[in-house]
Formats: sequence, C-alpha cells, structure tokens
Amino acid sequence: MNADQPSDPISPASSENSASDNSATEIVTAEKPVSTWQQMKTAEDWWAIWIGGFLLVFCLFAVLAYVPSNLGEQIEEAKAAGEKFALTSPLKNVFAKPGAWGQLPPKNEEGSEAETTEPVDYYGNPIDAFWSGDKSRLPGILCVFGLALVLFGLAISAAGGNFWGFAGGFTFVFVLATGAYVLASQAFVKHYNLEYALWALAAGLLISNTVGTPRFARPALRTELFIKTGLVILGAEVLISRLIELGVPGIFVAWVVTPIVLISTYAFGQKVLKIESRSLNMVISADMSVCGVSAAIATAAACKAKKEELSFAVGLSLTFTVIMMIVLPAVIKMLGLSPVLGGAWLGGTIDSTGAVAAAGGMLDDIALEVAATVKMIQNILIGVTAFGVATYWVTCVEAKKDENGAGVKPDAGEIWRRFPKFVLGFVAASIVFSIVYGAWEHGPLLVETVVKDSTKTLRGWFFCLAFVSIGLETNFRELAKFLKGGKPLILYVCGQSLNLVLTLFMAWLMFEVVFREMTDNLLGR
Amino acid sequence: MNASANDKPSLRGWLALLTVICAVVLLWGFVFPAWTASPQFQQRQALREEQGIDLAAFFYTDLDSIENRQHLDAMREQRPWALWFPWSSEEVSPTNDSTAPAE
Repeated sequence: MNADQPSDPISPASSENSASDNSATEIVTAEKPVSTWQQMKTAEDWWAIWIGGFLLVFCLFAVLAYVPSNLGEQIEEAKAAGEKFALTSPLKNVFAKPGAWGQLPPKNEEGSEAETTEPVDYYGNPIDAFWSGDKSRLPGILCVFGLALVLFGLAISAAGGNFWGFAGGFTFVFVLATGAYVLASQAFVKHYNLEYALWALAAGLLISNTVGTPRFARPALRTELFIKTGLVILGAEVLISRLIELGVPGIFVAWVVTPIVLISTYAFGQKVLKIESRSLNMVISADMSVCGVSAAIATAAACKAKKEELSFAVGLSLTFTVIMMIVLPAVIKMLGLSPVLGGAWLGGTIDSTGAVAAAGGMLDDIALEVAATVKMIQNILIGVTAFGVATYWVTCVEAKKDENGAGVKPDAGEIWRRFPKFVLGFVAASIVFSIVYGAWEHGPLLVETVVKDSTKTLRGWFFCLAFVSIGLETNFRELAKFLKGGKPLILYVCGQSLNLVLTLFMAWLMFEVVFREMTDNLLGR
Repeated sequence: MNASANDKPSLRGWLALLTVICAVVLLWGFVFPAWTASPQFQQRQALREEQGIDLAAFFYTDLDSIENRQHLDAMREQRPWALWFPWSSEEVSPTNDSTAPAE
C-alpha cells in the first residue's frame, strides 16, 4: 500500500487486487503473474489469514488446556444450584482495552445500587478507563500492543518492509487508537452509540488535516492488514447454527429481506442514481441493509473499496443509526405495534447491534429479545455477504474486456488470482468455530469463552487501528467530494426506506399472520 | 488546511489541532461528566445495565442480553416447534403456563 495515494483501495495493489473498482468498462491491465506460494509468503491477504488463524488457534487451545476434566459434572452441579456455569479463559486479563468510565458510582459494600436520584457533583476521570475495579488494564493493553507489533511486524518484514520503521509508526497509531477507545468509553458518548470507529477515524483525520501525518508514522498505516486480520478473527463469531434461533420468522426477516434490500439498493444506485463508484455504492448498500460498521468493513475489504469510501459509509451509517434508535421506538409506540413485531422491525432495520438493543429496550423486554435475536441472525449474514460480494467483484465488476468492448468471462485461474484471499480465512474461521459450537456437547460454552475472553478484544483493537490509519491517510477534500450532488445520501435514504417498508411487511406477515399463535404465546395474549 | 507529510506543519495547522484538543478536554472532562451526573441519565443508564445492553456493541457477541432471553427460551422449551411450524400448538408440558418466563 502506498501511503502517498490517498485513494488506495482497501485491498493492496501489490498482489492480485489492482483492478479498478469504479468501472466494469475499464480494461484490467496485464499484471506480472505471482505464484500462489509467493503470495502466501508476502501478500497481506495471506498474512491476515496467518495472523488471524494463529490468534484463533492460540486462544482456542488456551481455553481447551484449562477445561476441567469433569466439566459436565461441574455444569450439572451449577445447574442444580440454580447458577450459570462460567468457563474462564486464562487469557481473560492478558488482553485488555480501555473500559467504560464516567459510569454509575460503584455499588456500596452491601451491594445495593448507589443513590441515583440526587445529582453527583462530579465524577468521571478518564484514568478510570485504565482500571477495572482495583485491577489495572494497562498490562493487558501493553500485551495487545506487543503481540500486534510482533505479528504485524513479521508480516511487514516478510513483504520486504523495515520492522523498526514499522515499530515507531505503530506505537504512534496504537496510542491514537487507545485515545479513541478512551473517548468512546465515556458513559455519555457510549449512551448515544458513538462508537470507537468514529473517534478513531476522527483522531486520524484531525492529525492528517491539521499538522499532517508524521513521516515516521507512514510505514505503520497498514489499513488492509489490520482490517483483514480483524475480519478473520471476526469469522469465529459468525456461528452458522445461531441462524435458526428465531426459527422461520427470524430467517425470513433477516435472511430474505436483507439480501433483497442489498441487491435492490445497489441496483438503484447503479441504474437510477448512476453513482460513479461501484464500491461506494456496494459499501453503503451493505452497511445500511446488513449490520452497519461490521458489514461496511467486511464489504469494503471484499470489493476493494477506497479508504475514504469506507469512512464515508461508516459516518453515514452512524449518523442514521442515532436518529433511528431514537425515532423508531417512538413510531412503534405511536402505531401501536406489538413488542414482537416492533422488536423484529427494529432488529431488521437499525444498522448497529448496540443501537438495536437500546431501541428494543425502550419498548420492553420481549421487544429487546426479539430485536437482538433478529440482529444476531442478520450479523451472521456478513459471512455470506463478504463471500458473495468478493465473488461478484472478481467475476463481474473486474471482468476484462475484449477488443470489441464485450465482457470476457474470467477463467478459474483468473478468479483465484483476483479473489481476496482473506475472505477464505474469514469463512474458514466461521466454519471451524461453527462446527466446534454445534458438534461438541460443551461447544457453545467453549466458543463463548474463547470469543468473550480473548478474540473479541483483539478484533476490536485491529479495527480501531485500521480506522486510525484510514483517518491518517484521508484528506477532508476526499471525503467532501462524496457529498457533491448528495447521491450517496439519497442512496442511503431510499435504501433504508425500502428496508423499513419490506422489513415491517415481512415481520407483520411472519409474526402477526403466519406465526400468530407463537406471537400470542410470547405476549401472553 | 491539509498538510501532507512532505509539508512543514503550518502555524495554522498547530493552532487548529490545539483548538480541537482543548474542545475535547472541555467536553470529555467537564461537559459530558456533568450531563452524565444528571439523575435522569443515571436512571436510563442503570436500566440499560440491568437489561445487559452495551450500546457500543459492534457485533451480537458484545451483547450480554443475547444470552439472556427468558421469554423466547421459555417458549422454545414449552413449544419446541412453535418457531418452525405455524400449526404447532402442542405444549411439551401442558400444565405449565406457557407465557411465564423461565426463572
């Protein structure tokens, strides 16, 4: 990745991904063929798989090594005592990130809630973000820093880069990422779903657009490597068996409506709005229809979107998420929809997972459960989306043209050469962890422990590093050009309107007509 | 206002950076904590904490509430096929109150 080119694609041009993302009519220039073996040793896509795969296996085996031999008995005992058995990873405190601060005052010794009816003079010290009770989070944060530095440094060295040059810049990027986490963890900021991605992006943008990105930091701006590694790790959370947790209604609301909205919005952007950048169109369509920032990241990497396109799509999604999180529950109450129907509508339409839960919680517990479950099923769709988009891109969008200007169907070798390989790592992680989850009696407990105690902290850091890097490489003028003519905004609004109508119709059909009895049962009607 | 890596940072750039940093310190250090301290905010926050809602959740695995679905779990336990067949009305345990959440 050449840092001096602000419009670099998310996927590096160094390997197989140098085709233009903007036009199917563009003829892909002949590239010097690089063997797969060579790519495996040097390409960022492959290194994302090696690093992500290594971390997943390491975290999985760390838990497996500590699984008690009488696990079944312990679970039964806990059940008999009316408690929930919890397995703890030995890595739980080894990896950490800044935690929430400015929260409610801690509980007193009797364990009762602190008095909240009287205003508190002042509390909320940012230093609290580095403490969890009386335990410091700093060693855990430094451990993530050290591990990431070594692993990413290895990848840089393998690609012919300078490790020490990378190390200096990485420290700078990591400090900014830590700052972004601290800003995002403030109680008030958190309350309005202003995620770390926004602050990471803002921190990078602020520096690059005021004093300029320091020269020493440039070797560490490896957006693609951070994002793709984070996505491979995220694959462990895409558990296919969780797809069936809301049965037929859940599948119809999340897995039938969502692809229809995604494809329709993309087609609308291309045919009606004639948006120049196909990748921007795709990223906005995916983050609006699937699940916000996580879908935007996965799709941007799969369709080789430009960094500023991802930034723009994320900003758009976060803005509308905050609006929808506040407005939709009020609309549901006004229309008098049942909590089940309302929850399903919220889960299928609001982009961000956290905002879905908050909006559902504004209605009642049943709405919260249904909304969160629909969102979870939709979250799982990002694996299929990333794979589908990557395949569509290499087979259709980047298709070569013959001398008559007609599209030439690429052969299998060409598809393999152009395919973003990290998607394979993402899908493989999903399949392996889904098998562990479903095939072993204690699989759910094991996978839950691996993810909650270790891998989700790591993927959070990697995405945060990626957004800081994007900010440090982006010029405001590059972002401002997307607002010209307002086409992306129109695309989002029209796509989201379709999403709202279709999801409401499908949720009504499923929960109020076909599965009416189930809904009545759930509501005690 | 943009300064590339090759440019020497301008005084204007440094001033802009300092201004934003001051604004951040003011907002995060004083304004937001003051708003956070209001009783209404604290009540809303306490409710969300009780419900297991993390607004910063990036993926479903970040939500504690996803593993705590009492109403859905209770219904699934009593009517295992209710979510698959619309005509499945048979309860596993007819004596149970099918609407009661699991304890």
